[in-house]
Amino acid sequence: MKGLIYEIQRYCVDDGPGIRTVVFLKGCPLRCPWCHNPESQDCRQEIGVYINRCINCMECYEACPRDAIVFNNGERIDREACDRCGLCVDVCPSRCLVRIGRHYEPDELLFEILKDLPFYKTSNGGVTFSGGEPIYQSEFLREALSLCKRKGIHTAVETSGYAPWEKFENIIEDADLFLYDLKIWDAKLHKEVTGGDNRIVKENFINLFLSLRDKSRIIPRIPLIPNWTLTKSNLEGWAKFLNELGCREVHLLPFHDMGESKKAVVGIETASLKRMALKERPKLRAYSTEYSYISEIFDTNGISVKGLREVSPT
Amino acid sequence: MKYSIKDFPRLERLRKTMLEADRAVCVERARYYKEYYTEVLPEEEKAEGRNIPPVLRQARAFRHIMTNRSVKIFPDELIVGSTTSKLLGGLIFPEFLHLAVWPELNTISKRKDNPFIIEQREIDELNDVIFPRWMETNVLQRAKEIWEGTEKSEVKVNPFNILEKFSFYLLSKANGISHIAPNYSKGIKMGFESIMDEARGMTEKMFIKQGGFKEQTNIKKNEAKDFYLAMKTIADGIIAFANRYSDEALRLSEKEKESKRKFELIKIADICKRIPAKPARTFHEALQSLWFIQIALHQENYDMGISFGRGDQYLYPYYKRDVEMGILKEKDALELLGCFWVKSTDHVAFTPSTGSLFFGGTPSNQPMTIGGVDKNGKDATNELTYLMLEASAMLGVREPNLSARIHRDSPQEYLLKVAEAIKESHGTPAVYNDDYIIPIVKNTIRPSKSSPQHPEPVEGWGEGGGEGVMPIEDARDYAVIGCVEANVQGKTFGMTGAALVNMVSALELALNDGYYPRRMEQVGPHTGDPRKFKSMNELREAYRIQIEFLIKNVVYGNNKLGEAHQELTPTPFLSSLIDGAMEKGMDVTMGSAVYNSSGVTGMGLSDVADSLTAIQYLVFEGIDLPPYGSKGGNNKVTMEEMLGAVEDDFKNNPALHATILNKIPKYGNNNPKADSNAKFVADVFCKAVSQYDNYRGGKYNPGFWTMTTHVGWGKLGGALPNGRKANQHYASGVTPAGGMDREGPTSSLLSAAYLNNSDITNIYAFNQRFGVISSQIPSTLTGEGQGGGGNDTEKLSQLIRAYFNEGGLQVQFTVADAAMLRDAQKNPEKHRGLIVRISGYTAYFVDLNQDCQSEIIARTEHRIIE
Repeated sequence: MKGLIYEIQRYCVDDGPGIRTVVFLKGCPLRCPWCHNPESQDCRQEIGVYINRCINCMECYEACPRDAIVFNNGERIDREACDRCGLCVDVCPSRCLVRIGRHYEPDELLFEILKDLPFYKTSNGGVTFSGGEPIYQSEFLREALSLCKRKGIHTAVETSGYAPWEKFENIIEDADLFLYDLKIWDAKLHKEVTGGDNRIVKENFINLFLSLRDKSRIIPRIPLIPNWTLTKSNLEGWAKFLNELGCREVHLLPFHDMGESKKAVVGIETASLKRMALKERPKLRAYSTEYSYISEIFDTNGISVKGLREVSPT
Repeated sequence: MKYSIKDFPRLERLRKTMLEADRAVCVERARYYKEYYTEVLPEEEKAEGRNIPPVLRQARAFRHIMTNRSVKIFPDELIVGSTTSKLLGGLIFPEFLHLAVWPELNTISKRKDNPFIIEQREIDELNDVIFPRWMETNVLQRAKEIWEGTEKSEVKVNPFNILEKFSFYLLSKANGISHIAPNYSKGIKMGFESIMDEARGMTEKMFIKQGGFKEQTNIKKNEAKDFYLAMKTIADGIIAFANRYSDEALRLSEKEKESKRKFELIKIADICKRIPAKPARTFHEALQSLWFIQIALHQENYDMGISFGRGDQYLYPYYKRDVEMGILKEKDALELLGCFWVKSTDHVAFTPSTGSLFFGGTPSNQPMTIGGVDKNGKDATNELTYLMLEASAMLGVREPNLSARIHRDSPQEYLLKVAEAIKESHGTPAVYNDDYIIPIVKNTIRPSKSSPQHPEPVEGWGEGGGEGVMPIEDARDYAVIGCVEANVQGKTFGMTGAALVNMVSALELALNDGYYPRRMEQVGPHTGDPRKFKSMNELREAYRIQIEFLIKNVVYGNNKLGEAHQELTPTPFLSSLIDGAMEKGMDVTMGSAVYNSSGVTGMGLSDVADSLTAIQYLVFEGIDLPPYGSKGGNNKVTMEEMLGAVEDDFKNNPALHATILNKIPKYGNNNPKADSNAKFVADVFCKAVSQYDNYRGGKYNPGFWTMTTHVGWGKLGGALPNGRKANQHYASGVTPAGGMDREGPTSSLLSAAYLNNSDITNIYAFNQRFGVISSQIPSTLTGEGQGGGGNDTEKLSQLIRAYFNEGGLQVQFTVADAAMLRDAQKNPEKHRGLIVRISGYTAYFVDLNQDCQSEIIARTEHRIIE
């Protein structure tokens, strides 16, 4: 069974303990407008266009059997006409056209992961499966995780929680750590914004939290998106939820809009964030002062916050 | 870090003054050297009725300089003594390198890169008096004469002819002796009066007592006697110099109104009266003694890579004693170190204008080695190790070139401090892998029983080496030399930077049947028309032959230069501080050191490797490669096409150029195929170099570090099959080509570790550049929890550990993002003290010329989090 992976990123220091290799699995059922990795959403291979690399050699034009190459400003591919055969990618000499997504056998992936074993060893690092939603390819994920476990590599899974519970059960033994995203508390708004039902997210979190004996194996993470998740009521909702469950730690992820530029690469309309009036981009350092209420909310619920740096006012 | 420069107003002032000082030429050293040879020497020869032997006249010239050149103490200084007569000066060695500056004297004050202030009367003195004396009798000229007189019927080489073509190699011995770590400890601990006594004792032993020198030695007794006379002379010289400083300090103290400074000056006067004549007693005395010795070395030998050795080891007893006696506080010790650090930047190599391309940043490059294991293999870090890291991090000055040895059992605290210092200072220290380098140092010698000069065995040769084995205790006591090299401190006469070889030129010769297109002449041997090659192996073989050819030339050239040194410029002061010379009564240039070796370094590893890989894929194999171009679906090009594209700089074949850059695997990505070509390039070079013995009976050691020759030669070189366009820089050391290592720092480090590192006995420089960015996801920084552990200083230390576990020898970091560097290009005044890593040494970014600056910006930027 093969998995579809769109990136293997090495020397990652933000996705679990130590120095890690992050494997990004392609395909996600959610469509969060702030998505950092828009190229991860589609569950099929895609063709990405990095337009500034084009050297106008016209090789793609000659290679395409479907006349799907266009030479519009900033565009190369007519996504309607394109059947993603990738012939244009093969002939493109400049990596203007790239294939996003490659199929790996689990052992082939293990080989890639093992390359950085020396670094996992010195840092207590390991591998993190991210996405997209990695559980979307749950059979492959299970096999890859179990191969890693057998080699003694620490494993982590970054998940949106939006997946059938059985699929979580499937991997629970071989994943050492779950980094579990919590986004919008309000069910209606969650559905409206991300397209998914957050009851599933909540239920899975409860189930997972209760079934793990070592509670440090699951870490809830809330991305702080102005107007959507970064509101008092939203954070209060999650804080109470976690408190009731007995979860004592949360990680907060400051907002960035690095995903925006990548949307053009895969031809996703870029207006979404702008439509959300997200012109205010809070400076990282500002969180601790401007949003001082955040830590208060979690403090009252007895939850320790990590992620907002204890930045001194200087 | 525990301290900040704000805690030390004196250091802040000293640093600022030095950073803002203009470079100026100092003619004093050249003046008195010349004066001795033209005015004093003839008188002496008349009086003594003989030709004064080389080692003795060199010693007397040294003494003449030391007793005549001006002494200057600048405000705030606690460590005194000036390498030149200027605050920030360049020395002149007319007998070596500086004849090359002669034609540029009128323009050096106005040149764009690294200008030097020079006064008209100084120009006149150089033009009329100093330089003419050395026109005929410099080392290079003499070496050529020796070469002409050599019977060379069997040797198809022409070392000086090819040297002058400039594109193939540089022989640095023409510039003097350098790249060495003397036994400073001996000078500090014994004092030069004892060294005089030692010489006297040896003379007595030889002439008075019986059986001192065995009959079978071929060293004439009289030569040894003159050597010991020379030892006394140099000791006189350095003691006189220190005494003059003592007098000057006393004179200033009398004028000084401010009582604190008055007291300091009196103390300085006392110290200079005592050392380096007598053994140092305190930490302050030891540092002052060390600095006087360094100044003295620089009056005799040119200023490139005279290395401080393991300072945290030999200075520690003084520090410890003072602290235990309660006369020294940690903070005061750091202030003294800081004064020393700033003082060690008081001279810059005065190079001709091409020098700013090949040796950018005008380095003097004096590495100070810290950490590592002691002679028993136990961890050697001590409080001074940490203070030296503090000094470098807090001052951010380019010298000393702090070099941190790390071994398997180095304390984590030490690694963290090293990582922190790297971040804070933007790039210092560089780190060295004890676990692999110690066995390598054992292999830097091949004690030989005969050499061109000494056909009979010389007593004590390879002493301690026995059957070609260096005792492990010695290997463990290695110090970093020059850029990155490793020699046993105080025991090795290593000339680790004897030659720099352009390996890319060998590839160009191989691709043109020995013809060198840029000079339009046949230089190398005929190795066949590459268009007719049937396999990669034929190309590899052609390349190997061209490398062998260049190395053979290098070895003959270097050996002849060595002989010229023996005749013209022995180095008695240096000899007094290299073990073996005193015992044998011979200058170190004659091969009297305990260990004798020479170092040769190759430039262009990744460019040659990637070029071979591109040819392998595109011309010969085409395996795993998507079709190149859509026409015909062929995934190959012919050698003709490839060479044509290279010849016209890819102007007519942009698609091939893009394919090479984007689709062919490159060294630095932990890709076995690309990396094995790098391994091949390294292996060929190492084998070619290490087969030879030098003129002192030692071994030639191969390494890969490049100063900025990768920029200089790059500027002269044509396009290459790896997609590098004409006149662009090559990659430095064993660093992957800029922007080509796309798999992150771990892969890049693993690629370097994959080389046959144990053969690289002259070590290599591996550059990694990190851009500092504010973390997007700061959770990792605050939490020790599972969501991301530790901070990035810790991550950096873990990165180093893993790389060293895999066998990497050396790595150095520049921590500066491209935006910052570009800003420094535009606004140099804002970034006066920004230090960057070149290929082994550190330099101020703003001192580099534009080409060198661009090379650093073009290096792949990995990320590190603030």
